[in-house]
Amino acid sequence: MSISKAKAHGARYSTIRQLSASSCARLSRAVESGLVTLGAALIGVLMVFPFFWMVSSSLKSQQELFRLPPTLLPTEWIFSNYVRAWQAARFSRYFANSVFVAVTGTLLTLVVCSMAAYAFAKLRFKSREVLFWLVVSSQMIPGIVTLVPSFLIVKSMPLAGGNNLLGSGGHGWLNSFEGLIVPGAGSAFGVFLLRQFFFSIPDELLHAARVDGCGEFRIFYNIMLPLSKPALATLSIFTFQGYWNDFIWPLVITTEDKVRTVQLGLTVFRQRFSTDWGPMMAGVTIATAPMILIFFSAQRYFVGGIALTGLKG
Amino acid sequence: MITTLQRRKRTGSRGSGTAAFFFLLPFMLLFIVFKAGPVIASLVLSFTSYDALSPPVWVGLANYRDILLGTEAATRLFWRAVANTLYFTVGQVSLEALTGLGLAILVNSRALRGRTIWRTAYYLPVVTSTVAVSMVWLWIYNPQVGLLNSMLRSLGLPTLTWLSDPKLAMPSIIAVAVWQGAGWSMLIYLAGLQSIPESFYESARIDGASGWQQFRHVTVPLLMPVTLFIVIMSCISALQVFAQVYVMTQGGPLNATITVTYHIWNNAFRFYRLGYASAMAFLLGIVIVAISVVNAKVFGGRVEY
Amino acid sequence: MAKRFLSRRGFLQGMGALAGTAALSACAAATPQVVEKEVTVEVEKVVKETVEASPTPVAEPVNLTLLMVDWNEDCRTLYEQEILPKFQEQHPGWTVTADWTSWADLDVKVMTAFAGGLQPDVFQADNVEFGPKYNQKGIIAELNPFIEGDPDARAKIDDYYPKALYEGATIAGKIVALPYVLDNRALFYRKDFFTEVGLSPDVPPATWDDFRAAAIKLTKRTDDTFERAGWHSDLGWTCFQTYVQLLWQNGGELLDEAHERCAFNSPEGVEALELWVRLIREDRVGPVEDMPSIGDLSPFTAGSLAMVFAGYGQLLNAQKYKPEVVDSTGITVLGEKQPAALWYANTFFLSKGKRLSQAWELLKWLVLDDGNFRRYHEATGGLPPRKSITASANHITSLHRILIEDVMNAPGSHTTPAEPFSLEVLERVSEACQKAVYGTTTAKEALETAAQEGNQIIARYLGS
Repeated sequence: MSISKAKAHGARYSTIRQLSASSCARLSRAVESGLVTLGAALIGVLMVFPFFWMVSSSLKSQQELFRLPPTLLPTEWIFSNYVRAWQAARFSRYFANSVFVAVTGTLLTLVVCSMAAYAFAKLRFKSREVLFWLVVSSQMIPGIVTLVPSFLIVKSMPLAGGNNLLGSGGHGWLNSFEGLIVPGAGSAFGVFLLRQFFFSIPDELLHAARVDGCGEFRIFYNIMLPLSKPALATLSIFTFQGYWNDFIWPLVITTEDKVRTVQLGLTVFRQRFSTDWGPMMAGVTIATAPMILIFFSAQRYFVGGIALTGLKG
Repeated sequence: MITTLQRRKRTGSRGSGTAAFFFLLPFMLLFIVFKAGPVIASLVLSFTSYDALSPPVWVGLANYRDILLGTEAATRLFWRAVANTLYFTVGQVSLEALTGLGLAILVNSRALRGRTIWRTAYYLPVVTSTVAVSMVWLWIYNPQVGLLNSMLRSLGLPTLTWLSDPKLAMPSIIAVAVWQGAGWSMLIYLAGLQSIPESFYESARIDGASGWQQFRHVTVPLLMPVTLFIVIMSCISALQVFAQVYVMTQGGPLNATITVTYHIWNNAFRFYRLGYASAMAFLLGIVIVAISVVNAKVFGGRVEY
Repeated sequence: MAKRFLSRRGFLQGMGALAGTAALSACAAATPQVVEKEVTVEVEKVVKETVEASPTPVAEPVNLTLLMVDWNEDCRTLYEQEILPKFQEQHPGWTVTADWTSWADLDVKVMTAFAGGLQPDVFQADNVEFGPKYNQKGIIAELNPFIEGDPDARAKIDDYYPKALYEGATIAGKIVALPYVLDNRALFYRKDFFTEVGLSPDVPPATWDDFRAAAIKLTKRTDDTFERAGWHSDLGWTCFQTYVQLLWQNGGELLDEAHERCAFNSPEGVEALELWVRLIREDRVGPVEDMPSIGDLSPFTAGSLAMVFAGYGQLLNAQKYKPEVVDSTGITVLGEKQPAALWYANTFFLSKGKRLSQAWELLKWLVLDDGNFRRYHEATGGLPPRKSITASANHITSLHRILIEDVMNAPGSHTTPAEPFSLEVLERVSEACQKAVYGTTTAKEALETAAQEGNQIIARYLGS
């Protein structure tokens, strides 16, 4: 059962309930409503508090950060932690790199996955189901299994980073944006999600277009894609999230600041003899803020996507 | 399910094989090079002794034998890691499901005002990176100036060494994982709750069932498939727990938080035993695939997976 | 022979280009050891050139890479704005790309860099963990030919503390690295607290009995709450660093003479761990679990800890956040059968490769140039491994000198054995300490298990 249907059910029955309610019940419902909302608010504060604490800590002076008992809000708002993270710790660079990697990676994923999903959903070819099953089942393989071979394959990319045609001589895509972006773009999850959505577009539409002499590419580009905007938006967000939050892959394949991403920058504040908590909290804020903002502005796509696929964040 | 089958039968145009080839080409290329290739390579590596600095040497099943039956410290630690991983998985998955259900019921309640706000708040931790929030929790767990101990102190209670007490370290990590994951299971439960027809509750009420009885005899049984789905999906990710351990405890104290993935990481990147680590990764993979197959079998017909 | 080798490699890489299963062949082809065979000849040639001809800058463009791990923001600014640009000025056409990492990420960085053929030409690491392994694989350069062929360098080499160079950076008679910092450990004690409890601040404990009595006296606690611990050690995976000091003080050894078996389960070794366990579990001079920093202050700086085995990090912490503590800090080399402490030389390595002679020039510029090396130490506050730098650097105090000279001169002092298996074996030692101090087993049982498992690890390395 789809979400919208479920919602329709709920709405219809709640209307019936409301009609049958007496005014006395209405009063007690107001009390109930207040209590429930209060409870929800308390839990909400609990869930969001670590983020609040992160931002608050990042704005405190070194002295205040370690004051006991801690202050809820900075008594004096200090922005030097951000300045240090942004400049001295090179977060400006890392941030720009992360934005570039996540945006480009998302675009590439959308192109690659929507094309494949179109073939899996709307074109007929030999062993389509077997192939699809193979692709989807690859999602079950834990990431750590493929870490080292992926690294070596990226290193052996032919004709890149000083490599010859056979993939030797140089360092391939290591330490490059290509290495950060391309390997993640063939997302089985993306194909799965879009294929599910493409199924809901009636074949008759495509038939009509074919009869009119449309090629497959035009059907895909002019009919399927425009109709699939919600699914594409959902996939973009999850893909962006994946690229933005990734830690291990960038850690393994980057050696220089020019390609390092923001999640890697965080470890810089944990030095051998001490941790710089103030700048660290500023760094963490910088590293999490984009995802939080995107989530606030596009949360219906998150919700829809999760309901559609059950993707585990 | 039936409609899906019918739909599939009608799908596809005749003679579109060439088109399909071109549509699939970019994806399959990436898939083969960066997914299937590495999986196969890793499987092959698991039968070798390989340190990344000199060529791999074929050792057959020796790695698997050493991991499961060896007498070395690495074997003992592997089983310790398995036990810890199970502890984490059971703890995280059960708590996450329970919390998620609670939150879903709360958010679904008709009495609740501003449900979008609360739903957003509960889901927020899910979208942030585990490495970043682990750093924040490291700060919150700080024994001296951390938020938690400051609160305990102000309540006149003894403070705790959250991450450096062998008994407390794993629960502390589980708490972070539950906090981060509860929003996800809430959303899935929410979809499940909203798909239960109100008429079921109506007839239960007519039979004189109390609120609790309705929950116990209508909601819980009808949510069973959703619960199983959540449990299995959470298991798959919980069995791979890594970032929290890497950032917060590095497997300590007294090996209390060493997990399978962390042990794999240690062997691969600190001790240069890549063949051995690959074999462990494959054993983990087998467990995860087994769980996923159960997933597919149980939910193939019910959840659109 | 060479042709056949090449064709096999070409074949393997052809498969690599096809990906799929061929990823494995890529591993084989990518490994430095294969490359090494062709490089060795080149290296010899290059070395000859540098040794025979004067090291005039080469006109063709050279891009050198440098990986730093012991640094701070001051050091980074110094390198990026002065030291490296000046080097590039002196060598037209050369560029140096510096990469800055942390100890936490060093393992994976160095390993993947070598596996991927992206190894930095010059890199910092600690000799115990990296040197022996990389020397065994033949991927780091031997420095003797460079030193011998360069009178300038030879003079500077004699400026090193002999132990730092000839024990800390030498494997099987070959110098494989140049130390850039001494990371020595000894017993730090708070003179002000000694005075407070009626101990003479100028007579630090010399034997275990003194040490124990002082620890008990210095402890201030009510039940489980420590206002001040008399002595304490954290129990992370580096806690073997505390144990080895006690072990050596008691005349024990980590490994047997041939370095083929563990020796720390000897009676001396068991006694050493028993002392630690007794202090924590019976005398209750400190908590079992790790002591937290108080904000930026280490427990010792903050005054919640009176004695601790520490290194120059503790001095830095006090200097930076609570300078008055420096004045009441004492450092001593504790003894039982013999005074002993732990010293480490962290070193710069050169990777074998085409740019080896240029890398040597960079290394010389960084650690053998007096001005540059002194300024590096003044920026990072470390312990210089060279006598003249210790004498001239303006951050050096008498405490630094004790930490350098007394530690290295004490009869029982060592560095941990430079063997490829050291890291794995020492991790077992740390685990034994944890088990014993947490009280899950006795010191003897814990060490027996660790030795048994350590022997298996050693056997695995020696077997391959």
